[in-house]
Amino acid sequence: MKVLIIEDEKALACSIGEYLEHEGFLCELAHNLHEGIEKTDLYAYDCILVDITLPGGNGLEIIRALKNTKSKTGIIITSAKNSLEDKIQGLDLGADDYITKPFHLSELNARIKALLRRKRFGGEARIDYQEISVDTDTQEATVNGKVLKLTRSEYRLLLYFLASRTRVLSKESIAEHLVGNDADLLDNFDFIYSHIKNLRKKMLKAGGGDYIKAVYGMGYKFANN
Amino acid sequence: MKLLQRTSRYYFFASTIIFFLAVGALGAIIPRLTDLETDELLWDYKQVLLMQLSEMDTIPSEIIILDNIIELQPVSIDPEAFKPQFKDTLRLNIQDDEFEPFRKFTFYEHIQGQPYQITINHSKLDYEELMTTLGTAILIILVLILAGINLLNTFLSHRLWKPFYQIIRDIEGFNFEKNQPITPSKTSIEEFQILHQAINQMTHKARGDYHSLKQFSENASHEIQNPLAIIRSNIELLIQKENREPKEWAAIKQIHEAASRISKLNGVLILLTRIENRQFTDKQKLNFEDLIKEKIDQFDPLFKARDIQVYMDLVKSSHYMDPTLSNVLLNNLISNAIKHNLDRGEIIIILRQSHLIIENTGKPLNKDFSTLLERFSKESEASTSLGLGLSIVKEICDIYQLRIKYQYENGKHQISIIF
Repeated sequence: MKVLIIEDEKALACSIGEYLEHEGFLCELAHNLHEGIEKTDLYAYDCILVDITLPGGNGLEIIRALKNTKSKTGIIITSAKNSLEDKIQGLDLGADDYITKPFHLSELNARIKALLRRKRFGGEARIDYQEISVDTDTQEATVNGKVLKLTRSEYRLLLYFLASRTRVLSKESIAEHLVGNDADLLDNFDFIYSHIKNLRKKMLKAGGGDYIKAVYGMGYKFANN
Repeated sequence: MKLLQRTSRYYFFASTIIFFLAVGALGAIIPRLTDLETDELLWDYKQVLLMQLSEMDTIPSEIIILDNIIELQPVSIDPEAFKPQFKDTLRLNIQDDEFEPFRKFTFYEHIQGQPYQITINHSKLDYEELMTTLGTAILIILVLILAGINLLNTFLSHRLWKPFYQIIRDIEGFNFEKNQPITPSKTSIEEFQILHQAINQMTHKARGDYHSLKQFSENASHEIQNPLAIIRSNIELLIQKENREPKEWAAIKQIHEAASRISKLNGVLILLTRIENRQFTDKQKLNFEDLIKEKIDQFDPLFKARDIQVYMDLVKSSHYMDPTLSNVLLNNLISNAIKHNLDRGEIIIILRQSHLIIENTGKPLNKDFSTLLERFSKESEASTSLGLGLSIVKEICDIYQLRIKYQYENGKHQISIIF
């Protein structure tokens, strides 16, 4: 799975690349508009991350060029400007998603995976992990074939964990994943605890393993050990 | 008070005083002048009278000729010893039964060898009438002049001050965002030309400063976002390596929280600046019923986690607003109702065409509500919240001229927004 990261801030591009490579993506970097256009012309990518403000011009131009060639590449806009106008314009041009900086790498990762699933590059709408299986079409999760009765928050939580299994997810990223980053949550992420607790209980009750672990007050991790 | 009203008031006082002084002076001078004139006339008349009397056969005691009453009285003193005398006097007019003013001229003379006291009484009624007529005329002139000054001033304020009021209107309508220059000056009055020029320079400079400041805030926030994104993404990479000392974890956690705080603060400050600079100018007809339902749906995980019950009584209520701002408005109001709520508490949302009421259970405020609308004002100092949520609500309400009302009743905070 090939991902092109078009981002002028090199340190940021490297962290994104490092995180995604760990998730099994093959990452390439471009640091300005010109490089971005050149790479998208020459190679095919499954997914492209485009910053809007780039040296050499507006990142939206790359989207326009890609859409002209009827490319099926998934496009996610990353922008420091939380501007509704840019967002609408980008999505109108054919971008698939929009994420505002600063974002959590785990959130970006989940978005890329969801996008690729929607585009069926993975060929599968199913995510399997040990005895757990999630069908993203019917939005149904099963443990050993037994359907779990999950609330919407618990379902989204499970999907988020599965997208970044074995990674530590910060409490903040989980909180923002559940209620969006526009909610003013600063003082308190405790609410995620009750949702995690319930999800864990339901999975254990259905005979699943105890996969969700707290990590030093930082966050949680979905792993098997 | 207008400048012109002030000047006309001075004109009014000054001219009134001058006119009364003038009337007073005339009132003092004219009688004296008429007396002198009359006395001279009577002196001349004396010669004619003496000549006529010397030719008369018998001397009567009283002669009336026109408005002169002449009294003759034989005396036994030497006329040479007395000087002629002028005096003012009143005499009863038998016809009207009224006293009338007279000028009395008394002198002593020998008529046909006999000394006589002769008194000529000259009626001054004509002069009295003259004085009244003159006074009335002066009063009419005074009124006419004052009315004239007023009319002239009104005319001047419309005509001469027109460029001035045009400049005032332009300043009132001045907007940093619109690149509209002050209307070109058409006046030939030097003072207004100078004023116009000065204001033109000032607005030009203000606009320049404003734009560079705006550019600066935008650039600064963009420049801050990038390093923050790097810090945060590196923290995410750091926490993936788990075999660390607890001390290291504590440090990483603190860095992470601090970076999140700066990031949130920066985001909110950018938002506030943009709201203040009136950069959200999109106007869409938004149905708040739908927006509220979406928000409640979005915040569902928060309600569930604290067992907060949400009751909604909504009707269709559409208002023109920028979609970003309506989102922020509802976000902050509902977030607030969650933050300051009790576990297993309640939120009641009532939407009508004219108002929105958000009610939540909670402890009473220990501060005045209006101070909470100020920036960085928190309910308690220990709170980790930024204290900007309600000030943003206020900014947005100011833009759309919405009123905010607050009350605490039966253990519930109630914030109303009146459209």
